[in-house]
Amino acid sequence: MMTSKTAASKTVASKTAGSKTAASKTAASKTVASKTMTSKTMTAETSHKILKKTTFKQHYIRSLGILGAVALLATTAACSSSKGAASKAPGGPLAGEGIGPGGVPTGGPTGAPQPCHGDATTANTWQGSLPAAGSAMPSGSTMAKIQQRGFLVAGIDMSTWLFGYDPNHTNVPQGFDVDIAKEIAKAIFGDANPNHIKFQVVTLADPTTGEIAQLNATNVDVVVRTTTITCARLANANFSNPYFTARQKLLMPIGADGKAQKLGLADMTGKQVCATKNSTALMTIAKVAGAAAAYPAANALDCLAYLQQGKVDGVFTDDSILLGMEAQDPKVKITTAQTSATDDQPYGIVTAKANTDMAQFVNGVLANILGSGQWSKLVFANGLQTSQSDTPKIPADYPLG
Amino acid sequence: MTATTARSTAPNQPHGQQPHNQQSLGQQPHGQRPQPPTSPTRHGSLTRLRRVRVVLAISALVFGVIGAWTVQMRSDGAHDALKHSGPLTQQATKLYHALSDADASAATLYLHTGPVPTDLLNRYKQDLVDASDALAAVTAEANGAKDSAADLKTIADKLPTYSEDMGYARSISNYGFPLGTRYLILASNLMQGDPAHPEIQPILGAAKNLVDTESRNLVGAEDKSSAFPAVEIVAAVALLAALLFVQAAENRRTRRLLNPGLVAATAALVLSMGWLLAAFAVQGNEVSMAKKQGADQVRILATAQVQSLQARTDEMLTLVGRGTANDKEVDYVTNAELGLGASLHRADAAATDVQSDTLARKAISDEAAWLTAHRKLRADDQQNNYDAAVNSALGEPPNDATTANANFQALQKDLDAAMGHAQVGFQTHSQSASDAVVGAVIGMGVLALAMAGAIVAGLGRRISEYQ
Repeated sequence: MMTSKTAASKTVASKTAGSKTAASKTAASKTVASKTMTSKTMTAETSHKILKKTTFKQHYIRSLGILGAVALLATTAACSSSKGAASKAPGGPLAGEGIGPGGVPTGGPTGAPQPCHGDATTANTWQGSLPAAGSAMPSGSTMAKIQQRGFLVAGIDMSTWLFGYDPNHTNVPQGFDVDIAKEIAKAIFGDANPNHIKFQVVTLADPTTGEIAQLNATNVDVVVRTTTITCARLANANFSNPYFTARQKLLMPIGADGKAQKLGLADMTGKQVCATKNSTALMTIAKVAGAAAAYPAANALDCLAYLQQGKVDGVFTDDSILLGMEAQDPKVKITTAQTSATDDQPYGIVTAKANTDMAQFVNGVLANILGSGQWSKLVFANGLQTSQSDTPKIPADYPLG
Repeated sequence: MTATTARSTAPNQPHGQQPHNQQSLGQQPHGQRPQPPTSPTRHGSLTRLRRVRVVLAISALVFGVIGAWTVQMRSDGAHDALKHSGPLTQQATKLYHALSDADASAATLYLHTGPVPTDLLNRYKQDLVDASDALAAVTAEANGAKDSAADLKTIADKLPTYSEDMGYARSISNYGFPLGTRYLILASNLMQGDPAHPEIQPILGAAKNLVDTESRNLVGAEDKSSAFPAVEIVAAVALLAALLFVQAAENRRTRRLLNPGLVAATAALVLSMGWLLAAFAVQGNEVSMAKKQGADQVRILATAQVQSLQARTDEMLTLVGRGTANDKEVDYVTNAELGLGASLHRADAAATDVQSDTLARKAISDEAAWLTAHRKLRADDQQNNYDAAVNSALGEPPNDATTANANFQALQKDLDAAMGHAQVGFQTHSQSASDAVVGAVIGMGVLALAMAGAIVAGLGRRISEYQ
């Protein structure tokens, strides 16, 4: 996995890195990585503090550099034994993304997924500055082929409010995912001409219509559909750095005063809380509120229907999904109780395993829109500002999945 | 004196008969009839003849009762098939069809964008009205029968929830919310069954059970109406043997060739048996025609209709789900490619006349065309050509005969025509079967009375010869 490009990104990172930490342990499998490592780097905690201290604007200006820093950080983390990943039982619940059954696509390696770290996405970093939007892409590259074809094919979701949906049933999708896909098309073609992008529905983890299957079949060039970056999925596809981080929260009917309730998952013992079957959210419900409280649904949105029908007392899943539910029913709201960051879901843009150049290009586009402030514009435009308004962070370890 | 002689010469006579014999002998003037009896004594012959007369007359009446009862049994069966089980099966079939058609229409409605197509909306509403009517009719006709009570309850309980969820789906969808799609799928699962909860009986599952139950009852009625008249035939043979035996004996004793009364009774017996067997043969044939040309085909066609409608629902829901309902496509393969195909070939094999055979073959070819159109539709949907897939499903443009909708509608037309033909066949033959035994009950009674009368009269002449 490690390439010379990782070493290059580290160089950028070391300019912004402030504190020192020595890579304590060396994993045999990461020997190549550790050889390219410098001793100057920083811990995740320090990086987090920097992010918190910076103001909103500074934040974006520096985001590129920080991304690089985090990239190096993650490389370091790769050398140490990952406690976060180890705490999750291999072959346990699949990391849920809120919608559809989370799962490992067929055809990939069998057995429990190996732990993976931040470098799994930062490894694919575009070198230098991206080609100017609309200018000729490097000859022979995936982007050049897309340019020649005349349009980008983006795999999206069509049933997740605020991310990918078709409100007028006219096959004109909109949402945050759709906007991110449009940014990629704009970076290739130089304009926002709707003819330069086509959309294709992708079903999560489906063996024939899932993201991996459609990418490998070259039905789609990129997939932007609230897909959580997981180690299992990383074995079969390239992911961008996180473009959105969702936190799992509880949605309940509004209180008698018309405001959001204060209850948390721990208060739901003896009640029914809905989540997508096979999702980590469902396991969290069982862990915190008891196995009897976990109520599985085929689709996350079914949970809202069950809540309206009085079959369940609450819905526990990604806040990004819950925001969409709030939009569809004014009588429900995300509760104000604080939830843990342990199960945060980093969403990534998926590209085919074979097209490393595309993965690097997408990472470059993402870095640009994060840096230019376009990312937060899109977050606000899609009504996601009440969720995680901070720029997405690259975690030390990705969920096993 | 004579009585003593008679007693001594006929010691085998039962004692109970003696006083009567003595008394009647006492009343009779001696030697009025000079004809020489062949039996040892005149008194013995008289007693015997009287007894034979009573036994034969009663036997004739009993035969008549058995005959009338047999006819009544078969007539009841035919009547049950024509007026109760038949209509009940038909209503259950109508319920099954209306429910699945409602679900297919609702899913199709949902796929339409822009103004609501009123004909489709009216069809959905009419389906629900038809289903409610059929449900009420079946409930009334079944009259608390245990075999159908649970299924009727399932349908009656869930149908309001179904239509409520469907209405909710449509109104949420007006806001563009994907939640509408989930309500559509939840409602449809209530109708078709939820793959995640196979233990919950869906509405259509209960409706299918009803059709099966009523079909079984119809077969029972048909069997009853064509039961072999074994008791009647045994009775007829016994009576015939007795009549012939008595006539042969009389022939020997009197050297008269025939006793007109007994001959008339025998003729009446033969006539009544002939009537009965002819009526039964006609009826049996009509019942079997009603079964083969009617009920059997109706059953197969009803299954095919529902399978095609379920597949249509799957086709629509896969499109509506936009990737979240791909399991419905798996369902489509089960319903259309496996179930429906097999049913249509069964219908073709069961076809008894040219028209039903032609219709079955046309249905098979239209089904194949639909499958082809459906595969193209799926390929379009999967290859970034959703609009083309939707157009095919909804039949745009209307003059394009290759769309999935055009071929599905053609298939529905074939099945409707075949169903109508089979139902007419059932009705006609059931009516004929019922008509075939009309009058046979009275006929059996009249002929039995005539037989008894002829026996009494015929043997009465012989008895009076002794007196």
